[in-house]
Amino acid sequence: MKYLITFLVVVTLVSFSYITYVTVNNLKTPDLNKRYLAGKKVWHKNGCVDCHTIFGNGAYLASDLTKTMSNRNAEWIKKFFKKRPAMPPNRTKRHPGLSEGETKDMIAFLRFVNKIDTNGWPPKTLLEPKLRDYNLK
Amino acid sequence: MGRFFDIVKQIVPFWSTNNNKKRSESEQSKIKTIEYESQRVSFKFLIAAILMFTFQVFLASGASIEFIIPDLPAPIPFNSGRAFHINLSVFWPLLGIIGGVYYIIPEEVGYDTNIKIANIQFWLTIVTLLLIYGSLSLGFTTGREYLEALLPFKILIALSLIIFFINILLTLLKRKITEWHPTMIGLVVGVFFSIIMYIPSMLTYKNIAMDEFFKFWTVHIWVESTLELIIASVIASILLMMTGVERKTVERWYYVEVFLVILTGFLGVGHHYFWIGAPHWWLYIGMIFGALQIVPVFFLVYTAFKSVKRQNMKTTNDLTFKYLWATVLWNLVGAGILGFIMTWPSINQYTHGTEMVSLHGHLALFGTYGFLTLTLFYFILPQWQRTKNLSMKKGNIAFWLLNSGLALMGISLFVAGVIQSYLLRYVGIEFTKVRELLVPYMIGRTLGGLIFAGGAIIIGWDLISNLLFKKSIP
Repeated sequence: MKYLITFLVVVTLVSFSYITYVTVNNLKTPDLNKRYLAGKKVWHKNGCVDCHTIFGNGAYLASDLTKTMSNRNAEWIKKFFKKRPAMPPNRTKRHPGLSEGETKDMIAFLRFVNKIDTNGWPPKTLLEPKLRDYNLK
Repeated sequence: MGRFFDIVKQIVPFWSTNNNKKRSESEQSKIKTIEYESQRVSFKFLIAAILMFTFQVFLASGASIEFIIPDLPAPIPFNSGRAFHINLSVFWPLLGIIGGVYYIIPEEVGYDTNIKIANIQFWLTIVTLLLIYGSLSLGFTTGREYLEALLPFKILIALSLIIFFINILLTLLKRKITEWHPTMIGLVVGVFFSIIMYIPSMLTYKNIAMDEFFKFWTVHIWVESTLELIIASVIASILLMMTGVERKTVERWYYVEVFLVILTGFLGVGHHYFWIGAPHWWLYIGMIFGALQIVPVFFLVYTAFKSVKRQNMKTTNDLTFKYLWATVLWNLVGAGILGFIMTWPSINQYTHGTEMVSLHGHLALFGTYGFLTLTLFYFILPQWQRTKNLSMKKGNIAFWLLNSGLALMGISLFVAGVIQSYLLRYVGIEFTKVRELLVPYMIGRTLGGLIFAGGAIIIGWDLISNLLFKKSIP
């Protein structure tokens, strides 16, 4: 019994290591670039993931940002970080802002994330998504 | 069936049992006492854990108000507070479990652990944790959920676990009994793989998908496999001590359980890899092994029922049993059943990233690890001279506050999660609009949280007042 269990545990761990190896070499992401890496630092430094989610992982106070670049254009995002609107239901507390350089890096980061093949998540919704534009014009 | 009612009687408060008075005299002589000097190390760990738990409810209640009154001024931004909250939620039960391990090992192997090393580990962990909490509240973060602590601090945590592992191993090698107890093997394997799994996940990678991939080696594999191995042996050992059942009752299926926890826990990590840019075959691995994860939970339920059924004497207070039953129940509901529902990709695609996940996190993490730490607290601390007067009555009130608070929070978050999954992911209504619709349920969650906080504060205050004001009575 003991030996059988030990054998099974070893088999489990070996197969886990193997599929880890295969996965790490087959992540469905685009090629890395400098702008993206800078943007990733901005993303981490500001702790975005503790309000927003990315790939659905994070805090649930703010929206998921995985497919941001499919819905918004770069111009809109630049305006957004400059103008820092209050995000509803907030009225006075404004969204944190970024400098112009940081915004460009962040856009590169979000473009990279947008291009990742997420196995079809988030699912297609019944209605076309209608996003707020926060009076940025 | 009669046995079942006895268990119900133990859980339901104020249910008068006829032999209550008769038993209390004979019970006094049977109450467990410390047998090995090094078991005293566990007091420190448990006290630190409970103090952190009490602190955490203030933080968590504050953060939950953000969902109801968005513009309320707060001392620290929401994201720092949330990082603080989730780091506390992982580390205080960890401290409690380490304390539990220090308590069971000497009795399991008949040899003292090294007290000096244990003390070094304790202070190293506490200082590191305080540094982590301080830096997080000041806004220093690595920006990865659950792993927000800065790298040097995470290295110190790994170091502390390595010291812990060495201490256990040295004790086991010097043991006096001739055969290895299965529980000790599970424990060593659990601690070893906790360290192995923590190291790759504390690093930050260039590829964000790689970051996410290794993150779950801590976030999932720790709580659903390696720490589960550790708590399985802690629960088995304290059941032996509490009920005096024969060892083979508890250990009969132990090896099978170890194998299942490793198999389903390690491969079940796949249900976090559905949508992060990993190959699509993770959908199948995560679905199958994620669903199988409910099997080891049933083993725990089975062991607990079996040992209480076959007990021949009771060596502890009833409160410990209550908290243990709560551990078993919430583990079954929060981790087992909820996890089982959410692990199917066809459901997960809608519930993922909604309040449903928050619900699962709260019920599974506090329900299993939190209640287990409280079980250990009420089992171990009354054996210490200074805290032997911990009020069982207050503990009982706190028990009901914690459970009802958690249940109310659970129901509110469940409804919120269903509504949010439907409107946001299925219908396609904009995020902030859905968030406004969820406010009533968020009020329910905060109310549940406040009731829960009441329980936590009672326990914390009881502990503090025992430590500070009541000098030891000879």
